Amino acid sequence: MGGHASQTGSVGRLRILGISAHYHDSAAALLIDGVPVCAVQEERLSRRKNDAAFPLAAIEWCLDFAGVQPEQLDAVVFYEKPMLKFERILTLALRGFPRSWPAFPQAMKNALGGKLWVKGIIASELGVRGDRILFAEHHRSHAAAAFLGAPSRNAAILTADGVGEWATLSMGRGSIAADGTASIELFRELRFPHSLGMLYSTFTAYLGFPVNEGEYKVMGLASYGQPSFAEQVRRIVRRTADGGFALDLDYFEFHEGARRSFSKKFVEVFGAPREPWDPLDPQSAEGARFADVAASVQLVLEEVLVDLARSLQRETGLDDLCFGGGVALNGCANARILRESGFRNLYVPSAPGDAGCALGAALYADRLHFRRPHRPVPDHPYWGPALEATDLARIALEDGLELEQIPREPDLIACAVDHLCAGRIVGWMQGRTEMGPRALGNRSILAAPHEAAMRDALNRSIKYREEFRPFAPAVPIEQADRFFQLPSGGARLGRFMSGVFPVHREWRSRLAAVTHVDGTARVQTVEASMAPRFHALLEAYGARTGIPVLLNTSFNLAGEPIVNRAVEGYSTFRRSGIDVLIAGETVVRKRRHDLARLEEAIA
Amino acid sequence: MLASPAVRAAPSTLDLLLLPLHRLVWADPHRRARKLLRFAETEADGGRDLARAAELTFDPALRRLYLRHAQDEQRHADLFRRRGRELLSQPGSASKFEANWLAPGERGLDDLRVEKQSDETLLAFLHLSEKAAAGRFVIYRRVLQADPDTRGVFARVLEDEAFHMTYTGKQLARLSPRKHGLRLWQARAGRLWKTYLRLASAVASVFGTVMLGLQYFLLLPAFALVAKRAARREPPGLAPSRPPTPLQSQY
Amino acid sequence: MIRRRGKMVRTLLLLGSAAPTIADGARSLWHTEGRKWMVPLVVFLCVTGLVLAVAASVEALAPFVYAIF
Repeated sequence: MGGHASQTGSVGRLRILGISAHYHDSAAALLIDGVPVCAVQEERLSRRKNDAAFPLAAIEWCLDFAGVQPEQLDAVVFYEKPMLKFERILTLALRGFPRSWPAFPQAMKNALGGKLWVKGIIASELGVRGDRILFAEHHRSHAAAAFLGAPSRNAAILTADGVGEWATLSMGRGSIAADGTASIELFRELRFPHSLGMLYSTFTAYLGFPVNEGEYKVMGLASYGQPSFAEQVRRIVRRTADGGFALDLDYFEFHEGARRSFSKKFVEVFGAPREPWDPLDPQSAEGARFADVAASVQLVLEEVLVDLARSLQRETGLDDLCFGGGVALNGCANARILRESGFRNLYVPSAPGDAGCALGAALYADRLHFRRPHRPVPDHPYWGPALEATDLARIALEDGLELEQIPREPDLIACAVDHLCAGRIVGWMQGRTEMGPRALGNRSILAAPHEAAMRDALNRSIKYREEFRPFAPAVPIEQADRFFQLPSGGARLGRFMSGVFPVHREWRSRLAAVTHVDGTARVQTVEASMAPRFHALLEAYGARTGIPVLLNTSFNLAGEPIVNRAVEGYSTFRRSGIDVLIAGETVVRKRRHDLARLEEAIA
Repeated sequence: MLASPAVRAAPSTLDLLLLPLHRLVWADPHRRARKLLRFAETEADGGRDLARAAELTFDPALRRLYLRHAQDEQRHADLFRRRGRELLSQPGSASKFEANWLAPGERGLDDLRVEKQSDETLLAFLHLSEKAAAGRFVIYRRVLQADPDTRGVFARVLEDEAFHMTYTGKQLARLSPRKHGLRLWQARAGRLWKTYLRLASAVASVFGTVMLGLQYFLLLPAFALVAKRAARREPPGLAPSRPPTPLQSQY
Repeated sequence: MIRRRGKMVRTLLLLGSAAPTIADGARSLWHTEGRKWMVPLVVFLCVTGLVLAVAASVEALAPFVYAIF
């Protein structure tokens, strides 16, 4: 810690709490002596998907986990600047005068009714002194999460999302000097309303999916279509001479706070929007039109990002690119950036969206405000609460389920492999919860990846979701190239499931449940050092079947956040078509008839 | 479905008086479809609340019942959604008037915080809301004579509602043999209080909107001119990043 | 362990921090090129907006809070 005395007087230990809140997926992260100790999204504790409330439960868990009292915190860092954001909201209302009048009262109520007074909220909820409350800019928080959390000492930085304060996209570079001094320099930015995130969200809404949640669906649907509307999309995303772009605002309404994010003119170009409740069959004429629109916006998004990344590579001459912000969740775009921009490595954190900004803001304050030397951030996503499966055995026994305790890891893995080989769907809970939107082997539903019927069964009886959405494969990193066409740096991008890559043609039929219609898959490459038990499971499955690949999807039901505690895994297991629950060393199986009898008896 | 003759669903007097209005509201197929889709969302939300209740309770019998109840709600959501989509796919008049205040569904208007409830208060709340919803569903079934398929959906849902009313009543009596009547009255008072809070928030929201609306039209025009002129001077495309400001600053 | 405060205390603490927040915003806008003209509007909206913050924190009394102002 370089001799720094913490503000609370305890020499050598600097405790920084990072918070993101109020827009979507709020979170908290705690840094002690420059190293993350824990981080968790509020939704995992409140059980409300995409919970945007002030993350009191997440903060409390972080403090309890580390044994820190609020008054011992040296700094609490909020992930954006509320007054700057308020200025942007007000400026847009003024620019839109008088058309902005319907949206103005609600926008002001949101801001002035709470969001502007973040400092007061933090002080009143945590009892922290005002001078310890700090504010990092939104895109600097993204940049810090992407760069300071990556295993790179010199990297270009690209961030892109819907909007923070004003910036919607930033380009810059980060470096760590030999003495550990970190710097993040952002050169250029695009400002609201010109936003790739808002562009994609507008199409998400147009296609009848919920914004901030349905963007994956647009990406999945795009594979079914042809980019026949690409020219039209390019017309509304005009490229500027400096390599940036400007949205033609005649086609949008989001910047004026209207209920609908696209305009009549938009509908004239792309046709009638899809209603959320309309079934979507890409084989039908209407469904094919929507798939084509999705393919078109996906293509243009990729073109813009690749061009920006290429110019950044030329400008910096660096090998590494750190990419943050919600747009970095677009695995197809990430793969193209890696292949075509000239960067050798692309680092995307496990939580590139706003939740990850809690950690980013804390890291930014530590390295750039307190000027403490950089310390490498452990390269894994498992920052949340650990699994405590003790209650599970009691509950399962009370419910009369088949229960086994298997303390020896090889036996546990053999048991899991038996079930997977028998075509059963396994709920798999181990260790600490992942930070970010993806289950990466600690809160996962696993299944054999070979038959398309398995994908359909999962969609039908567990995920209750559209049939056009693909499932992801997990593979040991050592064997990833055998099944997937990974470019140089692709295996690294797959660490947090951040890239979509082609499945080798000869394996597609044998990996049918995880191969998307266009022959690609969003691969997770699993390293033994990061997830030893999951890696061992994949290897054991490979030893038995010859294919060390498993279907890995997040352990949750539609509309619910990923499970956290064992009892939540149990509840999900009971309410869905999951056949076996393996939590820690406890294995539970269903006996449906027994359950029905029990309910009748007690009713 | 489990046979549970103990509790029967009966519509409230108010709903009986409003029968002609309900008939009018449900007459249009498009409006009917949108209401069913809204019910689907409410039922799915209710299912998640019950799953949460199952995760939190220490009572094994309640856990099993809550889980069963959660699955029922999910099934109801599917039934409502499927029927709503069927209706929307049929040609019919597209009504803009939804009248959702007439048909809030089960716990549609109550923001239930399961974590803050004890088993007893939750059971009392569930008992009342299931009873209210079942009463409404009886009315809907009655006014839907011209649409046997939608009527059938309500009939199937009502079968489960009877079970839900029965088990919540029985379990409340088991957990609170002497005070279950009091718990039900407390739950009724709680529902009334929440109704008041909704009303107070709505009134306050109107006040706030008027206040801000006045500010918008009286205060903003002059500033809007300046803002528009400044916006015209901004070149499109990339701009130099804003220099970093001290972290103490909120701007 | 976070010590929970009552709603009233939290509202008062929040109001107490409002003045420095508004002052910080006004000062920053004043020193930002091309933003000086916004200062009176921002200050006015923030000050009157405190009613909204109070109303949002005591929802049961919200209509009366507006009536007082």
